[in-house]
Amino acid sequence: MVLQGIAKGLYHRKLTIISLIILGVIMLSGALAPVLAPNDPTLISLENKFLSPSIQFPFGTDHLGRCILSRLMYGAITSLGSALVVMSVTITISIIMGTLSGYMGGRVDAFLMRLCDMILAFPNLVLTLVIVGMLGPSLINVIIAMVVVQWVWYARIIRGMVLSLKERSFVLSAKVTGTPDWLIIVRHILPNIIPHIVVLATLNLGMVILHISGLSFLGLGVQPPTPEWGAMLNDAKQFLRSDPRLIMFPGTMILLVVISFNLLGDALRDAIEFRES
Amino acid sequence: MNSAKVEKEIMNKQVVLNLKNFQAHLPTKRGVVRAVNGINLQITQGKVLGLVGESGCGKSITCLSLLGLTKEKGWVIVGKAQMQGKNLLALDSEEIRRIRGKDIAIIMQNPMAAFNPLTTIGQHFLETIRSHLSVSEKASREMATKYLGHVGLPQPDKLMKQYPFQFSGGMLQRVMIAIALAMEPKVLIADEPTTSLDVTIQRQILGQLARLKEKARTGMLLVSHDLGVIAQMADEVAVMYCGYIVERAPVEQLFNNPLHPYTRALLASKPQMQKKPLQAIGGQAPSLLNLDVGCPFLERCNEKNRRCSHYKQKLIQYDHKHWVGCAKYSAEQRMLNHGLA
Amino acid sequence: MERFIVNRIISLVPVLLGISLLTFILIQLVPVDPAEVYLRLSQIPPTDEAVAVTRAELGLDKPLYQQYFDWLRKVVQLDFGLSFVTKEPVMEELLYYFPATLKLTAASLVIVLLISIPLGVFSALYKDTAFDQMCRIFAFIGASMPSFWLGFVLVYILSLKLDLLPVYGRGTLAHLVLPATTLALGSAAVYTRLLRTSMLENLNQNFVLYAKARGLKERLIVVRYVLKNALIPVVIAFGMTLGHMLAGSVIVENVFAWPGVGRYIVSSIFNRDYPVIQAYVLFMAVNFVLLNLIVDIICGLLDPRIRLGGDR
Ligand SMILES: Nc1ncnc2c1ncn2[C@@H]1O[C@H](COP(=O)(O)OP(=O)(O)OP(=O)(O)O)[C@@H](O)[C@H]1O
Ligand SMILES: [Mg+2]
Repeated sequence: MVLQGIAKGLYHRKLTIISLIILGVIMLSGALAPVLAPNDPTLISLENKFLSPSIQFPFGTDHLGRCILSRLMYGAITSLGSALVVMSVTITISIIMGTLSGYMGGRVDAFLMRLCDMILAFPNLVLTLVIVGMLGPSLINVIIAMVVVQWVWYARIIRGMVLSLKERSFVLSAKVTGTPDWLIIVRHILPNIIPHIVVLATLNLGMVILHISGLSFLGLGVQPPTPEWGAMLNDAKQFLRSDPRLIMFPGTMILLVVISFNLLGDALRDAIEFRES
Repeated sequence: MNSAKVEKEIMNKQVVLNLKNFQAHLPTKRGVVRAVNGINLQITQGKVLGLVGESGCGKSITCLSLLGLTKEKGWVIVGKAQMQGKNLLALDSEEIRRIRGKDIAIIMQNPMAAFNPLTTIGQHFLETIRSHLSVSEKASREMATKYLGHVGLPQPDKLMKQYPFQFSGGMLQRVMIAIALAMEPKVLIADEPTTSLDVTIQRQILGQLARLKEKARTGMLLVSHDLGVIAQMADEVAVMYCGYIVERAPVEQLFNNPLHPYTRALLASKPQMQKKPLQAIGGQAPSLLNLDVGCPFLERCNEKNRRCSHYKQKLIQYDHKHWVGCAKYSAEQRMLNHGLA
Repeated sequence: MERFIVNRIISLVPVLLGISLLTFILIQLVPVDPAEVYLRLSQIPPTDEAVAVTRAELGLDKPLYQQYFDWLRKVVQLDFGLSFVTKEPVMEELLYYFPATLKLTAASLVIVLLISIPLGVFSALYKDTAFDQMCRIFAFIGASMPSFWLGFVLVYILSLKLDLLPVYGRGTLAHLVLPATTLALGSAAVYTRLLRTSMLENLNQNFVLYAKARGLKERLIVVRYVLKNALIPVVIAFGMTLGHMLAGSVIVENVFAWPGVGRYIVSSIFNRDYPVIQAYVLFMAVNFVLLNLIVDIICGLLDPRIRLGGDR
């Protein structure tokens, strides 16, 4: 009973706050890494390899003697930063495409929707993987591939929202009074869709992070020696037996961040649904 | 034993279902909905009790909760629902299951949503029969087709193999009635059984229900908006308002001499042959979430007096079989009236 | 039912054409000249002359639409050309690696069902109990877990520390357990959550109430009324997930050195073996489409409204 009560109470408010704090700390430590990081994350010194935690190396060192904490901090910029880039580019493109498609209708709409159908016919990780394969392994190509694969989902959803908004009385009356289309879009349509898209994006950020770090883990994304959590796991996998610490740190970071984004997305969704009901 | 006592004995034997101080409160996010607030009703063998009242007054909740059927968890149902000396509300889940559908059958209000979209009409029928009787598949199939025919559905064999989405609301309603009739229940609860039917079929169905009450001596609780149906079918009528029974009387008495202001308003809103203008009941019923002390009809009543604002709903016996819950008819008020006269 | 299936199959034609078109476009993304890559891999110096010959050989000198139709004609005959690296037919190589991937995916599918159906059903039936809370926490963490990390954690705990299961290699059922579980966990979490929600929705339906009112037994109601209806959205979503699992096997195969198409494709990407990459994406997309077809047929079997084309 007590456990239940605690779990329930936590589920709503506190967990959201905790996840916000976790995300805040990680992002800050990433952003301030050049100032705060105790060591150069790429400095190789073989005499220092596999060190246990010490004052100089708070989390110890990896197989090339690099400071794990510093690599984790710099890795936060790469992992979170690239996810945020993917998300914001995706959303910008999909808002433009979705609004265009839904608002204009006709040929533009038909063309864009066929394009979406085509992309959606592929399992999305496969398509991402193959685009990266064609363009060649690198972080920027991973970002491009993720955007190409993801925007269709949002564009579809946005188009649907725009279609239904178009029939609502406030848009119709704006039209009747001769408001130009761009103004209707800016003033009436975008404000109504953006909150929903932010919720969706937050809910999906976790997945984006998993994909980016997954591709880096395969060696297809961030290239060495740039620190990134997925790539760190890739480096560490051969030392699973001898030094499991190397696996624990980056994996825990990914898990924490993804859980936090998912919790945050859930909370935002509940909030927006509540506001609407 | 004097004759009055004998009469009472007989009466008691004939009562098949007796609701005593029956309450149903539904906790929701916004507060507790007090849907049914301590009502007393008797359903008698071979008789029809009509239950009328405007939308949302708690009729369906009464029907469902007396069988212990709660849509969501947490509904608080108190009081007694007595049948053959047993309180239905105190039975364990297997005991009440045996009663549901067999001794007390129910015809639900919204036929379109009441059927499992994934199984055939025949399945629905067979499941019900075989949950209560140990008969062969073949026998129950024959039984099903027979009763589907009784309610006037053509080609019952074919219908058995069809799915609910291939039926109209009226057809599904008749299937429900057929399922209920097949079990020859002691009590039939019919929640708006004729709303989705056209007039000819309505007459046919009412005929079926009447036959059931004659043949199987089934006692019936008939919920309806349609006062015409009530006038035709019911032996006794109870008027419900905000989860209270505000008036109860044999059918002629209620229609000829309605006592409660709400009943009067309800009857005035019923279309009649003479071209009198229809009277809508002014105002809105108070929310069941925040029922205050005092008569719930107060706001809309045009016969109110100062006593009404702290009147506690209870039925007063006005006549041999005529009960009413209104401050106007309370003993002191009547005394006052007589005194003045 | 036959008509429903036939219609579904006919509707696949434009989808497959779209897939082939996009696949063909993808190869145009390659920033370098495939002919040059081909020569390099064959250790022939890419002189202008040699490149021109190879371009003609690979048909790269023709106009694009011509190239597309030539390619499509071959693809329909399952001819994807030769691997740049091994010089073997690509299709044969894919089919050589595919059974391992299929086995892995099938095993994790079984695990997904074994986990998510009981958890989803019972957490809905016992909503808000401690068991339900635990299921929800499991669903939440499971869906956030990076599979490439989970794999290592499982190996570390179950194989290295407890010595219960073998780490790498394959052949026996024991070898399958760790990779399949790793691949399954995320989907199992998602489906536990989805099934729970769907069950709860159906538990509140009027038809459940009417079934109770007719005195049906609790278990019959749960199975035939609630679960059966609750499974429909779950099955529909499953088509998607199967695709993700096939794709997700790329990561798991690389964690466990599982010799399936996932490992093959990653090494092909590093080798810039474009015919293989192209064949892989087409192969996976066609699998995805066929899996979705199967899922649709299952839905049709479950739901007469789909099968008989009712829309009321
Ligand atoms: N599942 C529920 N949860 C909470 N409140 C409910 C629920 N179902 C009904 N109510 C409330 O209980 C009250 C009584 O509802 P009920 O369905 O019994 O009305 P009714 O008299 O049958 O009306 P109608 O003539 O429209 O069928 C209503 O105010 C309704 O809002
Ligand atoms: Mg009702």
